[in-house]
Order: sequence, then structure tokens, then C-alpha cells
Amino acid sequence: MTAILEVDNLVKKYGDFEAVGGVSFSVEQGEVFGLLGPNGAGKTQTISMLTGVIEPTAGTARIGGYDIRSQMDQVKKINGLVPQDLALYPTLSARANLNFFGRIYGLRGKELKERVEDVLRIVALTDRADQAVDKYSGGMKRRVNIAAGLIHHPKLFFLDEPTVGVDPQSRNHIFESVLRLNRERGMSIVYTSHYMEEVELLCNRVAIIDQGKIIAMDTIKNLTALLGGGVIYVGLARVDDEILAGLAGLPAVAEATTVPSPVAPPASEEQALEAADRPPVSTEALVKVVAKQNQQAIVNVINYLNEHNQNLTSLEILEPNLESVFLHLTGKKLRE
Amino acid sequence: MNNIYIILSVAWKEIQLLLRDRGTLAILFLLPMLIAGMIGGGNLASVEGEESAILLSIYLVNQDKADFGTEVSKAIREIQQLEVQEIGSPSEAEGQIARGKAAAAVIIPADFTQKINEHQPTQIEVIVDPAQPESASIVTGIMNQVVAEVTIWGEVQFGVRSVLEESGILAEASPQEQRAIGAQSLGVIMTRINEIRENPTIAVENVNIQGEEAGSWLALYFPYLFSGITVMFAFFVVGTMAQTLLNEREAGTLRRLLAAPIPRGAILAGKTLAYMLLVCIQIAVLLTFSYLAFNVMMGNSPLGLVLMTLGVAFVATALGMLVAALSKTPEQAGNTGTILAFLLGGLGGSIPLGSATLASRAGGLRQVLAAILPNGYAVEGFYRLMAENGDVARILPQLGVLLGMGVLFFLIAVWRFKFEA
Ligand SMILES: Nc1ncnc2c1ncn2[C@@H]1O[C@H](COP(=O)(O)OP(=O)(O)OP(=O)(O)O)[C@@H](O)[C@H]1O
Ligand SMILES: [Mg+2]
Repeated sequence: MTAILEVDNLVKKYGDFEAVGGVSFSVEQGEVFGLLGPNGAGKTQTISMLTGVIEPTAGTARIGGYDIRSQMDQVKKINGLVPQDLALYPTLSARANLNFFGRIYGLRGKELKERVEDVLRIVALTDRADQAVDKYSGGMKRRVNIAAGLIHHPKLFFLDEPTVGVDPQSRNHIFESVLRLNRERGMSIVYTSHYMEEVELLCNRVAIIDQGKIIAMDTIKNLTALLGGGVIYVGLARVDDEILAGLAGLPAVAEATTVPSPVAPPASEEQALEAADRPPVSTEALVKVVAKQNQQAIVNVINYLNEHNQNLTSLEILEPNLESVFLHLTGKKLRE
Repeated sequence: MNNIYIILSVAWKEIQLLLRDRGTLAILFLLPMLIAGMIGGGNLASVEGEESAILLSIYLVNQDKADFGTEVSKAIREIQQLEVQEIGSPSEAEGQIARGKAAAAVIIPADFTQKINEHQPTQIEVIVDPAQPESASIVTGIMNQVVAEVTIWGEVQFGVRSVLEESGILAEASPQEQRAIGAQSLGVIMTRINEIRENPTIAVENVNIQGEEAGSWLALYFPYLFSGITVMFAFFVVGTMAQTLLNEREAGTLRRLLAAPIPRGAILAGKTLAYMLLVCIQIAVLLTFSYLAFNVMMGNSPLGLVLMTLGVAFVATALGMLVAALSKTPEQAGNTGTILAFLLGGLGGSIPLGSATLASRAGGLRQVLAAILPNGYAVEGFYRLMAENGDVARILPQLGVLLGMGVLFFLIAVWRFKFEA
């Protein structure tokens, strides 16, 4: 396999502030690669440098063998970009928008017409293509946004949080389209998100990015294996060093630490994540237990607390997933 | 890749967007028509009003029963603004004025005709009510005009007689023959003079108004008024253009264009092209409107008008770029553009201050401002073409300055513009 994208120590600085602090990664031909990170992590800045929207401060990358610093014109023909914002002209119809972005890539005549129809089919908007974009639902707008990035049949497709503000139905549709583009057309894809389940569903490999740095990068399987078991949050009426040491010494437990209250997992607005995210309701102390094996660790912890007459005020089990990997690595939630 | 195709594509997209923006189109097209129409219409109405309204009532005392006395009293009675009442004697008139029955009295002395025929100085006396000093100047003004008319006749008659006498033709003629020859010559000459007056060789296009004086004043004022308002509203494109450019940056469409394999200059060039076209159409529509609705003179250099239009479109769009480059948000750009358009219009001399004297010729601060700001040059250029029948050579200085300003604005804009916020 050959890499279509090789990023080499890319840096973007604004004054003293490092928005991107030297990231390196590569994406194989035909791969769906995820960039997962919280707000302000540097995902958009990284993509902007790779697509020629902004200049890197240092470092470089090669796309399809071309250097982004010296051969951007070639690179731009390979790249497709779906910006994080709805980059469309709201008073124009979807078709007029697509016609325009097609012309910008030098398409014209019959070829342009065919491409427009093709991408409209991909996002399933042929029927309403002549309606002004501002009359569309949020999900439909997102689909046009994707179509506009596909018009010139890019080989490497950057999707920057393409599902923000989208209903579940449109979101599923977008996932399907992305997977089909990858499988049926062999498109390589870089997908950014702060929804770990999107990345888990779509991507072969993921880079977790925080504060401009890649803090982990691997296949999802390997990344979750990093945690071994998972994480259990135990709410206690009272906690001291003796109890912590006792918990940490349990057979299925790797470590046990108290969590300072401000960092306690806050409420999540996401239905899908509710089970994993639900915060302890009323807890005087919260203990984070990293498990070697979840089931066993839960039994150990509950037995231990019973034996020592400790009142359990809450219990939360985080399945081993990217969300918990991120929390584990940074002490922060992906979304606040 | 074909850059022209890209530029045209960007321009076409911009035009599509504009066609859907009814509010902006109304501001650029309807508002100036409305304002120019209201001011222009107001001027017409006031001139017509002056024609029909009776300003003053006066007494006329004609003590001269001969030719010129009769002529002058006839002429005075024909003046629409005056209500004329004949009265027997100067003292009687004086009495009536003292009692406030009239504003003034005009007294034609008994030897008026005789003095004129002898080519000696003579006077028409105007008695004025001291309580109404302003009426004095009005009546005196009107009388000077009337007398000038009548005395031309006297001058000519006197001239004819001296020529005939000197030529010796009259020496052998009988008194009856002398009078006949004199009258014949006089008739021929007066007919010629009247013909010349009715068909002047230097034609001033008649602006469908009664009254020569008022007509020619408006005929010169209107090109200023209408070109001034046209130029002022051409600069309203500044805010529109700057705002749409920054909107694209904010919305992210600009980002998409930056990721495409096209030169950044092509994006700006396409926009500029679309807005230049808009300004050209706007100026064409407004000038056509002023011609059709107010019969405003357009001069005789269509090429000159086209070049001036292009010049104004160029400098206005360049300024739009500059405002975009120096603004942070679309709202800020839009507001700056609008304020700028008003300021440039007001200070740069797009708004005639009730006189047909251009700001660029008015002297003082107005002229200094007109020499700094693009509007001064634009209006001066249009005025030279429209009111003074100038040709392209006459507007080259104005075109040159507008072009220079435009280039300067563009260079600063391209240098300062940030494609990414
Ligand atoms: N023009 C700029 N000037 C200064 N700082 C900037 C600029 N653009 C971005 N940043 C900063 O760079 C950091 C990374 O921003 P970036 O947009 O890449 O984040 P992100 O990972 O895409 O976040 P999100 O998920 O919210 O989109 C942020 O702290 C942001 O404030
Ligand atoms: Mg982002």
C-alpha cells in the first residue's frame, strides 16, 4: 500500500500561540482516516494547511507525491474539501451552487452537467436541486455541502465535521455516502469529528489530537486495547487514601484515583452517549477506577465496598471506546 | 487552466446573487431615481410657479404718448409677475404707494421717446414703498430688462438714420420718401434681429419650461444635479461589494475557492468585474432616466459618457475592495461603505447646493474637497460632457485621476486583504 498523504511535522503558529504544534501522520490509499479531537484541538487548522487555504508556519506534507509547499496547484486537483461551515450561497439553488463550484475546477458543458447530476445522486438531492439552499433543512444543506466538495472527483477527500447540526436520518445518509465513496470509488478520506462513535463507525485508523498535538494514533482496536478493560467511575460518600489503596489493590483493577470535582464528567446532550456519559448525580467524592477487565473489576469493587461498609452513591461504567481513551489520555471529555 | 473562464464564472455567480438581492437593487437603482426625481421635479415646479404667480402689483404712469413710451408700457403690462395699473400722474401714484396700495410705481417721462431718438440719456423712474425694500430690486431688475429690449429698437433706428444720412440717399428724397426709406430699412433689420433671436445659432436645448431665463438656468443645473446623484449612488456599490466579499470569508465559501486550483487574484477579479458591470448598468439607467423624465442634456460624446462611466465603475469597485480589505466583519464593511458613499457624495460635490456651479469650480473648501475626492472628478467629467458638449479630450484629466485613484485603491486592497480571517 502507498500513502496518498504524508504529513511531516506540520506547524501553524499565530504569534506565540501554536494552533498546530508539529503533527505527523500518513493516510494510505483507500483508507478512511479519522482526526478526533475536542474544540480548538487544531483539526481545521491542519486540514486548512493540507488543502492550501492557509500557509503552514513550518513542516510540510506530500499529497499524491506532490509537496504542498511547492506543488500546491497539483495537490489542489487531488484534494476535495468539505469545510466545517456551510460553504454555500444560500440564495442560489443547489444546482446553481454545484455548477459554480464545478466551473471553478474548470468543468464546463456536458461534463459539468453530468458531474452535477452525479453528485446530486450521491447525496440523494436530485429531486430538490432547483430549490434555494436556504429553504433546505439542516441535514440537506450538509449534504449539498458534501456534494460541492465532490464535484471534481477528488482522490483525497477532507470532511471537516460534516455532520454538525444534522438529524439522525441525514447523519446516517452521510455515513453511507462516505463509506460508498470509499468502497465503490476508492476515495481516500480524512474525516474530522468530535463524535467518537462516528469515527469508530467510519475509520480504519484514528489520530487523537489535542491542543495542536497528536496524542495517540492507531487502529481503533489498538487504541481501545490501550485501556485494557475500561473505566469505572465510583461515587462514594467519603474517600480516603486507605480506601483508594484498597481499590487499587483489587485483582481486576489497574489503578484508582480520585477525580477532582470540576473534572467530573458533565452532562452530555447526546442521546446516543448517555449511557456512557451520565454523570454521578450527587457525590461527595468520585473515584476513577481503571479496569483490567470490566466485569471482574465491577464485582471486585462492589465486594470491597460492602466489606468495608462504604456507601456507594453512584456507579458509572465506561465501555472501552475512543471516548474513554480520550478521557484517559487527557483527563478531559471530547465535548463539553 | 483557463483563468478568463474562472473570472467569468465568479462574475456570473456574483450576478446571480445580486439578482436575488432585491433590497440592494432597490437602493442602487430606485432610490437615486426617487431622490433625483424629487429634487429635479421640485426645481421644475418652482420655476413654473415663478412664471405664473403674481409677485407685485405696481402703478404705471406713462407721460410719453410717443412710440417708445407706448412700447415700454406694453412690455410692462405683458410681464406676468406684475399686476399693472395705469394711473394719471406721479404724485397720484406716490399717494397710493404711501397708502400701501402697491409696492412700486414706474414713471415714464414725457420726453422719453424724444430723448432716445436724439440719442440722449433718459431715465425711467421707479418709486418704491420704503416699507418693502425687497420689491425695489425686483421692479428695478424687471425694468432694466424691459428697457434694454425697447432701446435696442431705438439704437437700431438711430443707427439706420445716421447711415442713410451719411450715404446721401436721403438728400434728394422728399420728407415722405425719407420716412418710407427709414421705415423699410428698419423693418428689414428688425425682422432679421427677431429671426436671430428665435433661431439662435448657438443652440441651448430647450428644457420644456416657459421662460428663457429659468430654462437656461435649469438646463445647466440639471446635468450637475443628475450626474451628481448618479455618481453618488454609484459609490453605494462600495458597501455592497465589500460586504459580500467578507460574507464569503465568514461563511466559508471563500475557503472552498482557496482550496480550488485557481489564482487568488481570479476571485477578486471576478467580483470586481461583476460589480463594475453593475455600476455601469446603474449609471446607464440613471442617465437614461434623467434624459427621458427631465430632458437633461447629454452632450454629444457618447464615447465620453461610456469612458466616464467605466472610470467611475472602476474607482468605486476598487474602493469596495479597499473597504473589504480594511474591515473586520461584513457588517462593518457594509456600514463603512454606506457612510463613505454619503460622505464622498456630500463632501466631494455630488450634491448641488442649489446652484449650477460645480464643487470643482466653486472655490474655497468645496473645491479643495472636490479636488481630493473621486466624486469631484467624476461630476466634473460628466458635466463637461453633458452641459458643455465636451469631447473625450476634455475629460482626459478626470479619467486619468479616477484611473489613478482606482489603481492605488486596488494595490492597497490586494496588499492588505486577508483571505482567511
Ligand atoms: N486566525 C487565527 N488566529 C489565531 N488563532 C487561530 C486562528 N484560527 C484558529 N486559531 C486557533 O487555533 C486553534 C485550533 O483551531 P481549529 O479551528 O483548528 O480547531 P478545531 O480542532 O477545528 O476545533 P473545532 O472542533 O471547534 O472545529 C484554536 O485555538 C483557534 O482559536
Ligand atoms: Mg474545526
